Formats: sequence, C-alpha cells, structure tokens
Amino acid sequence: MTYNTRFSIHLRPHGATAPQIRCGVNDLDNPVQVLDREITLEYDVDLPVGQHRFILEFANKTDSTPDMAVEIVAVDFEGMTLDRFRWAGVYFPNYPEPWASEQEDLPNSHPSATYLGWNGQWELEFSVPIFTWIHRLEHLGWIYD
Amino acid sequence: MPDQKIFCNVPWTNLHIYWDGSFGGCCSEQHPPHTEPERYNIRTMSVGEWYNSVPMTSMREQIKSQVPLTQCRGCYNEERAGYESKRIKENFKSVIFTELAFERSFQQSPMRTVFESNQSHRMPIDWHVDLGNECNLACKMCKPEASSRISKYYTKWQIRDSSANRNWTLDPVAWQNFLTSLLETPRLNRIHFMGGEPLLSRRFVEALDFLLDNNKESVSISFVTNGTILNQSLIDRLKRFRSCDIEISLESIESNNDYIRQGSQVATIKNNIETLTQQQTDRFHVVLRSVPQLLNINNYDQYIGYAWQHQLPIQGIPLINPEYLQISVLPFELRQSLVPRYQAVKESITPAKFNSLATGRSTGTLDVTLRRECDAMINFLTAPEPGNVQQLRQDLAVWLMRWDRELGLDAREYYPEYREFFDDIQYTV
Repeated sequence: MTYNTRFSIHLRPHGATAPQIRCGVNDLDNPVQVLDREITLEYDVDLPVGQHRFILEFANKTDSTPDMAVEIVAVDFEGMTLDRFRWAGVYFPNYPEPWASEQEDLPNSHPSATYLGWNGQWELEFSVPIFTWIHRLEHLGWIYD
Repeated sequence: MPDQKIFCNVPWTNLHIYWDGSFGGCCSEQHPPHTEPERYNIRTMSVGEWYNSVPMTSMREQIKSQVPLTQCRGCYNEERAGYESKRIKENFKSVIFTELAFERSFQQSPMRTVFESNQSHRMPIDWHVDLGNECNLACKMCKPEASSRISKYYTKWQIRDSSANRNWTLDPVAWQNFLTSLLETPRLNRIHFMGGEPLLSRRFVEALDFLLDNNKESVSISFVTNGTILNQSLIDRLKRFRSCDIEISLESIESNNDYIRQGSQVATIKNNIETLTQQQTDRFHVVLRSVPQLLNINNYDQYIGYAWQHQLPIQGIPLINPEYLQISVLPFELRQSLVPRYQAVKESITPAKFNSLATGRSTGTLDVTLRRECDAMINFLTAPEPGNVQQLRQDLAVWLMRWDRELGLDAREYYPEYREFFDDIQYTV
C-alpha cells in the first residue's frame, strides 16, 4: 500500500561562498546542488506505509569558509507549514578536527536544530500515511481507526 | 469523493440517546434522523440494532452525498461564523483535515474503508447520553426536555410540553438495555453525559459505578453541569477513569449569567470552577461551556478574558434556537458598538510564537482557540439582520416578559446598554 505524499523544504544559504548540498528521500539520490540563493525543494512521491526519512547532506565547508552554513527555514507537508515539522529534524554534524578532539562530550546529534553550521546530515523522519504522522506530531488528540 | 462541506464521521462513531430514550445520530443535530421516537428507543432496541437501522444507514449514505443534511444545520452555521464545528472536530479524530486538506486526508484516513459501507460492523465508540430532564435551573434558552423546572413553568403557562414523565433512565428495562449495550461495546472510547443536570440524576452515579465495576476505567468520561453543585466524592470517583472533562455551563462572569441561567448564582459557580480548576491534572480537565447569544454578547468579551486568565478552554455552541435570542436580533448599530471590545480582548491574548494546528479543547493551543472565539463573535456582531427581525424582536419581548414577570426580574437592570432597544420592542415588567 502506497500513498502519495507532498512536502517541501525551504533552505537558506549563509556565508560568502555558496554551500553545496545533496538530498533525497530515504537516500541521497539527488545530484549535488549549489545553494547560491534561497530555494525550495519540492517532493511529490508515492511512498509505502511506514517510516521514511528526508536526508540533506552538507559537505563542502572548509577552514577557509568559516561563515558557510545552511538554514532550514521552513518545512511544508501537504500545504501546511508548521514549525514542528522542521523541529522534527535531527542534525548529525561531522565536527571538524582537531577542534572536535579537544572538546568534551560533544553530542552525536542535535535534535530540532535548523541551522547547519558544520558539515553533516540533517534528517527528518516521518511516517506514511502522512496525515496520521502530522496528527500525532501536532498532538491533535484521539485517532479512531 | 464525499463533499468537504458535508462529510462527517459521526454516523460511524457516535451515538446519541435523547432525554426520552429515543436514539439520535449526533448530539449536535437539529433533529434526529427519524420521526419515530417510540420505535427507535433504548426501551425497545439495543444500541447495536439502532446502529444498523434504516435511519442510520440512510444518514450514512446522505452524509457522503453532495446534499446538505437538514439536521446538520448547526454545524454549517457555526462554520459560517468561523467556529470549529463538531463536524470539523470529529473528522480530526478520523485524521480528516476538513478545512486544510479534505480530499487527500480523507483518502489516507484510517477509517476510509469503514466509510465505504453504510452498514456498521462496529458499535459506536463515542456516546452522548441525556440522563432525563431533572434540573434545578430554568435557563431562558433551554427547553422542558432538558429542564424539569422549565417543564413546571410550561405546565403553569399551559404551553405544550412533551417532556412530562418521560425520563428514560427511570424505566428499568431501558436502563438495563443501556447497561447491556455498554458491555457489548468493547472499544468504547468516551461517554458524554448531559441532563438536565447530571449531578441530580442518581443514574449518573450508577452508570459510573457500573463502568468501574466492569473494569471500564479505560473509558473517557465527560459531562455538562450547571456548576451549582460540587460533589467531591463524585469527583474522586471520576478521577479513576482514563480521563474526565467537567464542562461547566456559564454564560457570563457577571450578574447577567443569573438572568439567563435562572436560579443560579454566578459567584457560587465561579467559586466551584476555581475549586475544580485547582484539581486539574493531565487527565482531569475543566472546560467552560457557553451559548453565545443576544443575552451574553454584551459582556462575553470579559468571559473570554476570564477563560484566558484561568487557562480554561471554552466549548461554545452559538445559539440557533430559539431564533429570537440570536445575536443578529440586536440592532446592527448596537452590535457594531460592541465590536471594539472583542478586538481588544483578542489583542490581549498573546499568540504563541510558533505555528501549530489547533482543534478541540487542548490548553496548549488556547491562544488560537480563544482568538478564534473573538473572531467568531465579531462575525456575529457584523452579520446582517435577519429578514424577519421585527417579528423576532416581538417574540423576544414576549418571552423575556413572560419569564421576568414570573420571577420578578427586570432585564433593563442587567443590560443598561440595551435599555433603548428594550424600550423600542416595548419590553415592560
């Protein structure tokens, strides 16, 4: 059983040099994109019932581009732009060395982070049927099935 | 595909038992889906039989069509005024986002295959039960079927009253059928009790004890009370259920509450609300229940402010009947003069700093629902006057004078801002 699912992610680049990203649903299957301006990635996909992930990878930040970052400005599912959608994402940074080794207890992930200041992946897990996921995420109460 | 403006899941999930034991399709319906209250009655058939009766299968078919149902007029009216109607709230429980994405959410609803059939292979899981008409108040917008006190006045005034001696809960056969049907409903989710005043009905306590004795603590209980009675032992019993909402009817936080809800004392009710509010938990909630109408729109802005201050949700059901008590019966200029009050109270309710969906009575989104309540009142205050407004104003004067002469009240003392209007409609006591 599959359901058509529509969503979009609005991204904003930061820094003098444009960040490069790759993204996809359940896989990084889209080609590398140069984020030289704000863009909205739009998806209209048939997905089987169950858990899925939108993945965004940001990997071209270097010591010479310290101000480079990617911001998740908004996430829209089925025409609804709600803050909990973007806060449902988790950021898994690839901390730069040797800085990372000098820190204590760096977390592996940052739930609800929407500003990607290090290279790494931002993952948004959701489930299909999408409206049931939205219902639960927004705490809309009882669900009759 | 059903119609976004018409479809409702209630015929597959809800049950209504009226004060006389007759069955209904929904607690918000303007009339039941049949004209045979003796035939379709808990005295004569089980809930399961009712749920697959001709009126119910027919209602399911109609609600999937493109033609509005006459009994659903209340919800349609509320939606026009910007209210979240029962239809919209109930559809959310089937994961149908009626206003935001009807077609796509309907297609993905966990109940979609259930809706395909006009028969129901399941028992209703959300019951609305009227426990007769025993009541200690005589509210001006109420009717004898819901108030024994009004019934007494109707008898005195020789107005036809169909409610006399027809409280179904006093019939042992009907009561036993009700209890048996409860046990036959393993997935029962919620029972909502109404009266009369449920706290005056011995059957209310009996029903709660029956549920507890039969390990039905997983049921969610809600009931509407007029707030005049505080029964702590009953409250302690209610706390044993999965959740409980106490919905307290209050029309105003000022003295006109007592003018509308005749026999009540607003100070006592507010004290009782505060006592109950102090006991709130994540499973035990207090809800304010109102009927926005001509007799409370003069200071309903304060009521919304009170709800915000106490962080209490409002379950408002705008008055439809009697028509002469609708807000639109007030002169347009008088209504216009009230609008700034609602704009002011709306501005005083700070919106949350993030976007979220809001439905029902969640206190987490109280800012959204109370601001929506303000907008709905502004819509009522700016609506055109009905075509038959002169007749309605005459009816209003007759009705107010009948009650006020009987109970020694003078509307002009409660509503100084309406004094000129009352003179115009020749209200005298």
